[in-house]
Amino acid sequence: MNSSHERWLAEQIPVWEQEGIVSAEVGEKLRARYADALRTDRLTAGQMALGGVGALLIGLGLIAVIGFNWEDFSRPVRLSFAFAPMLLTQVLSFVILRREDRAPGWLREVSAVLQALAATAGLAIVAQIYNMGGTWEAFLLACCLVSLPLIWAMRSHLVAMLYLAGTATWAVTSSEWHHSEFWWQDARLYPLLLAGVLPLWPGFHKPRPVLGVSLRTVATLSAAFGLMAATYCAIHHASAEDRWSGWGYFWSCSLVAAILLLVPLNAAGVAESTRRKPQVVFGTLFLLVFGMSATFARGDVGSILRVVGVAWVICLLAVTLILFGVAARSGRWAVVVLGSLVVTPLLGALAGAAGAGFWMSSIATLHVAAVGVGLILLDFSGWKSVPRLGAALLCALIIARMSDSQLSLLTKGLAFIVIGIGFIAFNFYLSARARRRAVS
Amino acid sequence: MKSWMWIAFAVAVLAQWAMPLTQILRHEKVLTQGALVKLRCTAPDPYDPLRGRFLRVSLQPDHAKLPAGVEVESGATIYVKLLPGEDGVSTIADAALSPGDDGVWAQVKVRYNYSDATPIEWPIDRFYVNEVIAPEADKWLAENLRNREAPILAEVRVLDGRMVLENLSVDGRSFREILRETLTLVK
Repeated sequence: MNSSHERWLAEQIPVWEQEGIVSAEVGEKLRARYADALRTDRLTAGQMALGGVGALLIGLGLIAVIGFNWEDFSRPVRLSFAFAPMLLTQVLSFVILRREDRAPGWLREVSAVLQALAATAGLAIVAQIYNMGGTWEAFLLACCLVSLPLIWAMRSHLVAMLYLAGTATWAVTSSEWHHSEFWWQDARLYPLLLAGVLPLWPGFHKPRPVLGVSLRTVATLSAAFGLMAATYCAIHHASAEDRWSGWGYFWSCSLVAAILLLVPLNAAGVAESTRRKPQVVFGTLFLLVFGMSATFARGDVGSILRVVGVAWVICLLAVTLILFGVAARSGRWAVVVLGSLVVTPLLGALAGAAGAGFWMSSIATLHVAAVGVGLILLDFSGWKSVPRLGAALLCALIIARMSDSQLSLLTKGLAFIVIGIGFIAFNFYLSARARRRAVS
Repeated sequence: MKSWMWIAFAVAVLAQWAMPLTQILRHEKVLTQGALVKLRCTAPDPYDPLRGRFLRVSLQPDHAKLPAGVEVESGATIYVKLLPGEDGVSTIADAALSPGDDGVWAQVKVRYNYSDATPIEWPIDRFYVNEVIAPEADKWLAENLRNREAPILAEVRVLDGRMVLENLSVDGRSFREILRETLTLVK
């Protein structure tokens, strides 16, 4: 159910109570269940889009006007061009903060975005006037850092999104400078930058902030790209060898995907639809691609054993193991089963198959099949799961193995027909069962 | 309103003022008190999406010779002594891990170190120009400076090792003025 559905439902509760459709007690329970939908500080997509885009356009326009370079004016005059908008937006934010919760949420967002971009414009004009050097990535990071406190003070989700996108861009582009002497000069700084948005995390302050799907999606993509860039830098920095290449790096990135998939959730978070959990979607997709690729592995799986010695990868592995434990304690068995794909190459390597493609491929095939069966069995045992994904995984695996087998075209064709019929039958069975459950 | 939110807001406002003001003070001090040094350079015309058009200034020389036995890693900071020649254009006369007592010393970074002449990275790499004259600048440089003896000179102020680019000049005239004249003639 998306946020507009939830809001509509919450708005109907008093009407239903009046018409006697629901009792006052049930009405109260529904109100508590959908309390977030009625909060005035919650932004609708329309408010976010119109307010945010308007503020973004003004801010970017300001930066572009400054980019023209008004060199006919003296330095003080040009500096006042930059500082006047910054001062104005700071005063606007101050007034809005003083109005506390009486100020509309969208206005707070607009003010925060304008202030962040006005500060960026100020830094840009100073850099321009004094012919300051440095890469645009470093400048972007400086702009993100001066905007960070606005996320805390103004509780601005738009500034948070800009910050997350900016820091991830910096991390990815700065991973090219993997020769940096210090960890804080390249993408390895990213985890600390990501921690900057922690005040937005539910539980840090009350009322609990409602995180929209757009912010969650940006946060997921930022964390994924930022942490993968940090992994690249860490592995490369650990040795002058080409240790990052091939399966070693791919596997390390799959640890990042597993961490995203296993991010702890409270009961309400677990109950939400998958559509509202982009970290689960991203983690699942990445691990499925990784698992299926491993079934074709013929190359240098030995590089996995080499990267296991890198401190950063050990940390990722430790965090993944802890999150496995947390997910298992919460009964999130489906994500535990999916996340287990990350250990496939380790199983292959530990079986003494480093460099022997046959073992890696065989173990991965068995593991992916077990994950598919596991997802189906979990659903039949009454746990929350995705049986259709399990069935699709088994189908994809059979197709993959058939494609690289030496069987005749006739055998392959017949096998595909049988699998197709089985898949449709299973889908039909699941739909019928869901209908029966809904009726009962 | 919770007090920590006001503190966060104050931090944001302070940071947004402190960062540019610190830069302004530092650069103004060098511009007003620093020694004027002229260095040869090349300057093609790229674009920065956030800060506008600029000429990528590549100061010459881009190598320095460290005293024998001095080991430095890439990215390390060293100092070079700038000495003006008879034509007024400075060159690197000396290089060391710390600045000497006499002359003008500028702080630079080591790119990498594998030979006698260490490749260096100057702290100045861009000269911002107006959007209108920037494309003309690149064209003018390509057409007029290929076979000329008069080089483009970067007029740099140096104070306590810190460098600020003040202007670019050709034949003793400001590069911006030459370009404006060229644009007027074209129109």
